[in-house]
Amino acid sequence: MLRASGLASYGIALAAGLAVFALFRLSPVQAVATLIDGAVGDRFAIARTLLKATPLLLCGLGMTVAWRAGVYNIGGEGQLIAGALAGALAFEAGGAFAGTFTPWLLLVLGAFGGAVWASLAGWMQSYRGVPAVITTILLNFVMVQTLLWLVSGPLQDPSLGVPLSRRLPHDAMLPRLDRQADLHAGFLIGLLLAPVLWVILYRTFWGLDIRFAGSNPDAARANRRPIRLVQLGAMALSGALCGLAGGVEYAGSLGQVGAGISQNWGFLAIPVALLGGLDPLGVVATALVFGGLFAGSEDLLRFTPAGSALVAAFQAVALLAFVASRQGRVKPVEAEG
Amino acid sequence: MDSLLTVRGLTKRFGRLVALDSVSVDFRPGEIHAVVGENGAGKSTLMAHLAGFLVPDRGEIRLGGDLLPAGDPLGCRNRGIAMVHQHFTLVDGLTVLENVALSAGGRGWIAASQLEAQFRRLCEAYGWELEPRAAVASLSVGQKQKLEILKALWGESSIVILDEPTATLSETEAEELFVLLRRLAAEGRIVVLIAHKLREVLSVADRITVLRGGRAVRTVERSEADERALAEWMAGELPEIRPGRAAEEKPVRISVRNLHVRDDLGRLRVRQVCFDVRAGEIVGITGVDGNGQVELAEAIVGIRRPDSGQVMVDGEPPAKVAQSIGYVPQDRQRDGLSLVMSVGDNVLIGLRNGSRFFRGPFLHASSFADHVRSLIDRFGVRCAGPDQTVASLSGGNQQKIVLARALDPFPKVLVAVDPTRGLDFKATAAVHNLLLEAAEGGAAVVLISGSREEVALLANRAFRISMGRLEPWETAAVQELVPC
Ligand SMILES: Nc1ncnc2c1ncn2[C@@H]1O[C@H](COP(=O)(O)OP(=O)(O)OP(=O)(O)O)[C@@H](O)[C@H]1O
Ligand SMILES: [Mg+2]
Repeated sequence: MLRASGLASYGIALAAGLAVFALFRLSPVQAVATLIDGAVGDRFAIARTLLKATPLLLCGLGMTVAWRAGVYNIGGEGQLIAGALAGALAFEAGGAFAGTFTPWLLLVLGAFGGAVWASLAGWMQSYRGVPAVITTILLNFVMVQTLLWLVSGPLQDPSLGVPLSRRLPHDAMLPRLDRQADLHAGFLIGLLLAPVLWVILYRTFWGLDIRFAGSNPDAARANRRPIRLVQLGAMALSGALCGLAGGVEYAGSLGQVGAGISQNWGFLAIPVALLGGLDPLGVVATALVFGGLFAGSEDLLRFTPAGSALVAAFQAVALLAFVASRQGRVKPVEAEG
Repeated sequence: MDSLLTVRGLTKRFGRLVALDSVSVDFRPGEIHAVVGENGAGKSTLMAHLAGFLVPDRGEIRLGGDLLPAGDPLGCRNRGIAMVHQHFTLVDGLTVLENVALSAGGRGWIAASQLEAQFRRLCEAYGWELEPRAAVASLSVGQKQKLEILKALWGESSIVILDEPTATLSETEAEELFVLLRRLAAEGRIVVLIAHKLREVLSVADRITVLRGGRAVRTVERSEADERALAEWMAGELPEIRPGRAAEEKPVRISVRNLHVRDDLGRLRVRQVCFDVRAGEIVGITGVDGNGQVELAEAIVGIRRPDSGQVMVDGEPPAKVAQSIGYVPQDRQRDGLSLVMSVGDNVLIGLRNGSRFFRGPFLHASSFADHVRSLIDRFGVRCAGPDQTVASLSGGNQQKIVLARALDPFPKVLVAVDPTRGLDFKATAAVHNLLLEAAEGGAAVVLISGSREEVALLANRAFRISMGRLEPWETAAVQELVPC
């Protein structure tokens, strides 16, 4: 089995992705230059990379807590949407009132919404014995449909003919770090939460409980640890982080909620978390790599003759090659001697 | 079939640790060859090389003159080398027969009825009762051990390696196994056996190799060795056991009334059990494994709800006073430890009154690491330090982690199931002394053990458990017993 070291797998991923270009007789050299330029070429490129990395980072951290606890949360997407909707509903209910505290309130509501939505699945696993893998997938469907209904009904901005919610006024948005490049404070929040989560996992008893519950639940039980409660709590925190990502997208990047509130961030967060070794600090690194890939791809779309389908194929092939060449580097979740 | 297995200059390092240091030894057809040594001496590592699981740094292993394919377990298996590992390699979710099919290998359809017929024939030949269609998860530890042995004897193997097969068997069952091993050897096979009980070794082995700190100290004929000599070659000394004293009339700590307990599958495993344990007293419970021992222990420590009846610890339900109950579960790898986690984490999870290592919610990592280091020292755990993952510890050293956690600080109530399983004789004696010390310090101890000798040696009072019922058991006089 082919196993590549950390750096080599980036090379393999890039080569495989570029092969897609070669296949369609487009210059791989030009493609790679465009990609790198689009990811880290200048201030704007870097800002865009960080913007794309933000929801991946937050949801990736969310996946990390849940998976470490042995709750296989596939519902990041639904929880992200729940977070964004919680904010949008409150904004609408409050008569579109905006003050300086509004963006922060929207984030808190986002985390809360995601936590509630995830806890539903957590409760079903802990106390009804239904694996979260199943419930979170189903809850994703429910939440996506709820979103579509809300933005084309109760939440729709009456002045718009399209299914989008009312736009947040400027002072209800997260502060910008870089006005020109549109970079907002959301990324810093993620960057701050990664070490916080690390401390929780490795320096608190709850974190120890989480890691034990995930690696050997029988041993956790024999040591008289409240494993169900621990897993439910991990799921709530996981949902809170994903919901926060929803809040950040809403109050940071987009300013309104529509069908496109998430670009599959909640799903992509799973490979981000796994390739990050289910370790908060590793997740920061992989979120940045994924962010760079998506930011660079936008330039591929803009400056090369490749169409959107080809760029999507490039991303998919590159990611697959990356994942496959790192096989065996992912930390085991289950105990195995 | 009749070829010599020779090991020459075998050396294996794990990081800075030299697990095997230029080991040379011959295994002859027709012999039962025992390998003994302290916990962490390198026994399992040597066996893993024989069966192709590890690649040596230096040295070679030949079978009848041909080099064995290092790092190729399947290739070794095809050359007739079968191994029973120290820890179970069974799939809990599959049935007994499916586990056999899995290890027997093959392709295409599974010839279930043929397998089953052969399985039943083997069981009958060995006098073992194993239901081929039972789920492995429902087997007792002793039954699992037998299944492992059956798996190893399944194909035609010319070399059978058994790493501590008797640790989980009762004395009678071990005797039966030895009869079987003698028969295998008489047929010209090589039988390699690891065991910690020196008396067992002396009763069954033809030759004995002693490992010490990764070196093969010597290989001797059985007639050249006795317990004292073996112990000295292994460790340099023979430990002493201080006999326990009769308990005075102290208050009752554990009271069990009319207890009925079911297992996970809903089978009634503990029936109508009543007994008290006073402070300062060791109550022993012995019996063939799978007669309700585990369910009884779990009910006493409060992780299994009784079907009816009750358990009280210091007048409270046990779940309420978990902080004062120390628990040594029977199966260290399933119920005791998380193998992928570090020694430190595994101590912390079971630590009672660990608040002194926390500042608010946060662990004070360095002071806790110091504590773990002191435990490693005191319990003689052979490991690189608190950060080593438990999976890379030897079996006996893993057991010491479970014990250290339960015994330090001394609990008010201790429930220990087969606490010395997998320990070498020195560590066994140390644990026995600790149990006595705990009791002297006022702990109420329930010692559940498959070893009648252990119970007779330590308990103030003893019961036999059979089909979930307790009956008083008169212990033999302590003087007649040998400690190991
Ligand atoms: N994969 C590994 N990585 C690091 N150290 C290891 C690894 N496997 C074994 N060791 C170390 O090698 C030494 C020998 O281990 P081994 O399992 O052979 O001991 P043993 O004689 O079988 O002991 P026991 O009686 O406790 O089973 C131990 O100190 C153990 O910690
Ligand atoms: Mg061993």
